[in-house]
Amino acid sequence: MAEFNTLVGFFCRYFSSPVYEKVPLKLSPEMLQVYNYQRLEPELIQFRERFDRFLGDYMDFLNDLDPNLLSAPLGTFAYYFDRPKPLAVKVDPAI
Amino acid sequence: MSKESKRSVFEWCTQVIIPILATIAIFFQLQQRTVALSLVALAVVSVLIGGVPQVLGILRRRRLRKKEESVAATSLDSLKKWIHRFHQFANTDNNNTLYSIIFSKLCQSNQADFDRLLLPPLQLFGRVLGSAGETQRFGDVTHRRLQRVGGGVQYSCRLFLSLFFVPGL
Repeated sequence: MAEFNTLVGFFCRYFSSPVYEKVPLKLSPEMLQVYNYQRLEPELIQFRERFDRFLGDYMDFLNDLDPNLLSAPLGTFAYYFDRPKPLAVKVDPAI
Repeated sequence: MSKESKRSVFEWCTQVIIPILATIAIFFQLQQRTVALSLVALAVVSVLIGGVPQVLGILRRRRLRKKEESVAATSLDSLKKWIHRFHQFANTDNNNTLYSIIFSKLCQSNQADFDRLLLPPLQLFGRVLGSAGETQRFGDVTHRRLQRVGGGVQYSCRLFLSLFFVPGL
């Protein structure tokens, strides 16, 4: 359980959250063009909604878990994961 | 008197004192065969009765262990479901994962563009989870693989630091 939590935490902290912090604001102009051309915004929003729902359910599961069933205590921070923020701005496709 | 000491007194009486007294009495009743046999039976029954609490304890512990194993198996199944659900987000095969959106679509599968986003290589997560759902010892396997992910995360941290020196990507 602890290892899986670490994995989920790594994924949130180092992959999903940074993506939603950088895209699309910090993209280079070339990548921004691809972003608009491929219409990635709805896909990213959809992914964020699904992943956020998963994280919420999983955190509820952890909070409801009987600590006596665990071979080792999870620690306070094991019950919280960084959730990806909403996309920063809506980029005008005309750009 | 505690339950524990009561039990030991009971066992001491039934398994030691009564059999010894019965054995001594047998020597005085050797002429009367029926009485001697009765004393032997009394000693045997006393020893058997003294063993009942121990047998009950063994049965109770076995029942508890089976219950614990059943609970552990249920929890493991539940954890496997969460691993499976997380795998849906972190794998590199499906086309609706973040990796697919970023690497395949945004970066057009161009590794150089992906590196410029300063993100860790997501294949690591997919590899860690790859066979995790099939193994009973997820912890052992994941622990070894997390060490590898740790290397990737260190790499990503270095990239993050460099973000401050390369503003605007």
